[in-house]
Amino acid sequence: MRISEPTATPSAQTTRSASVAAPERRRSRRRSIVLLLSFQFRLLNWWLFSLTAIGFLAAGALVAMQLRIGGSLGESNAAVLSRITLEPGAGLLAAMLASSLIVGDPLLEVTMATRAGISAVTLWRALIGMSLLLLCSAAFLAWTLAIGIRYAQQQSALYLLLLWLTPVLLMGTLGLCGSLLTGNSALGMVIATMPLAGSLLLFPKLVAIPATHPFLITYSASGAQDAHDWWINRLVLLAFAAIFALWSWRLLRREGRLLHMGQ
Amino acid sequence: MNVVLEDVTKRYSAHEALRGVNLTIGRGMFGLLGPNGAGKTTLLRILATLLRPSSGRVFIGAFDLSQGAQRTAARSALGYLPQDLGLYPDLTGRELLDYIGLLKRLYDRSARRQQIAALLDVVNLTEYADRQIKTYSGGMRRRLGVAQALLGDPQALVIDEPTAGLDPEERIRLRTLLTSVAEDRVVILSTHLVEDVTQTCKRVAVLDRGALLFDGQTQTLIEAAAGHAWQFLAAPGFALPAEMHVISALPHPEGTIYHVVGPTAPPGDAQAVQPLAPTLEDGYVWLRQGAICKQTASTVN
Repeated sequence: MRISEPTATPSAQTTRSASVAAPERRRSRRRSIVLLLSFQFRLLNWWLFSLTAIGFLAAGALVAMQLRIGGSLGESNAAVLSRITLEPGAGLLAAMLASSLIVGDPLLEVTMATRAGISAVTLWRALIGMSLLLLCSAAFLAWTLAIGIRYAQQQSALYLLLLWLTPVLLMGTLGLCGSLLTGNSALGMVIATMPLAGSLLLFPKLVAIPATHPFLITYSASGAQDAHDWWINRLVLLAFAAIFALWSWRLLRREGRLLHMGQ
Repeated sequence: MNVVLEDVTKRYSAHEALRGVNLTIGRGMFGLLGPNGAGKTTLLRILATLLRPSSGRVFIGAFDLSQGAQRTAARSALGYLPQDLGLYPDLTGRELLDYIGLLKRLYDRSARRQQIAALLDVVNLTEYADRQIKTYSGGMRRRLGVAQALLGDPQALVIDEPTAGLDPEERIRLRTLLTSVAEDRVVILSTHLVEDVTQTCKRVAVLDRGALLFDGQTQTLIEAAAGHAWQFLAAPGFALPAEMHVISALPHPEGTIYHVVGPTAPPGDAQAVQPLAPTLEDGYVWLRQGAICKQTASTVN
């Protein structure tokens, strides 16, 4: 019993113009990729995205409220709150999204046996998660900038990008790596929050030791947004993010471990 | 197309899950039998490109699975149904097949959808195709699993314990379905249910503790137990000889009716002793008994 539908005979295929077939194939491929991404979006936890959107909305409302009823300290409190939202807040949400990308997927084994494979599926899901986080963060940033929040003295677009991107990439890759290592998304999330918690709790002590500055995730939110070594801090943390991304990639290619994780 | 395994070994640290397995599997249904922990799932996962052997080579047609690029390319010729098939409960059956079709890079939408409709028909799920998977019974889920494995018209189908946990009607339906799709492709069916193999496979291999005990015609395995299968009535208090392996025991007003496999006829105190025409189950048990005896002898020596 053959399952495939009858295809055109070679002679019929040759009669079709190659110049017509190629753009058609490209269109078909584009449509398929859009459909695939829409499936990935549906298969991700929608409540995590809802939580992300609600989190940013609540933070925006708090910032606006601080400005309105915060009195003399309102403006600085609102700026600190904005930095906390875009730095550790966005990082935390990235860790939450990344740690649940693939762990616990019921179709893991079948996905691994397809042409696309598990690495591609993880990458697509990560891109969707990042895009949604970026969308929410951009809306929050636009809102806070519009109501007059100043994030730092050197408030360039690159500064704002790195303020957000560094914790997002670092905690996201750490969350993914942690979940792949432990086979548990909650544990992956916990692992990702450890350096953040350490940075928040130990900041008063560590800030006195300049050698530790490059490793502090909450460097901007804790008040060092204008420090001379802020850029070094961002670059070092991005390098760590790259290491965790590579590690995650390697873990995704170790099929035996993934299969064990799925059981 | 042939599936070939050459001296395949798989080690998990100290444990050897597969030990030098050599097999050549051609078109049609091929049964893989063995007790739990024999290495069946490991072997199937190697064939499905999910695991790499520690040593040895595997070929799916012209694809050499030891080569990275060929391993990925071989997936287009493979369909895989794992033992524990999890599905996305909120998708409909049709949506799930559409999704897996995209993962298999079947990008031509109309061809993909035609193929999905044809497959839903083959697995008798057309009527339920637009219902969410969470409303499906166990048998419907397994049939949907077979349909996803058949997407892309693979030349080799690797199926792990497809009938486990199904009611007799669903088992028969699934076996019939597998036999019908095996006409023009390699179907490798792993199971610990001997009946599944009896009903569907002309060729069978038996694995035990990672080693290949038998590879040949199902009939040859059945014939191996000829002259070793017996039925008798045993009075209460009858002591069954240690070398006899019980296939079934039926209560009877005067004792128990045993169906056994053993090297010699039951002892004198057994009543109504009858030699039986062996079944595949007898052959399988006889083969395993022989292997255990050999292993015990070599350990003693």
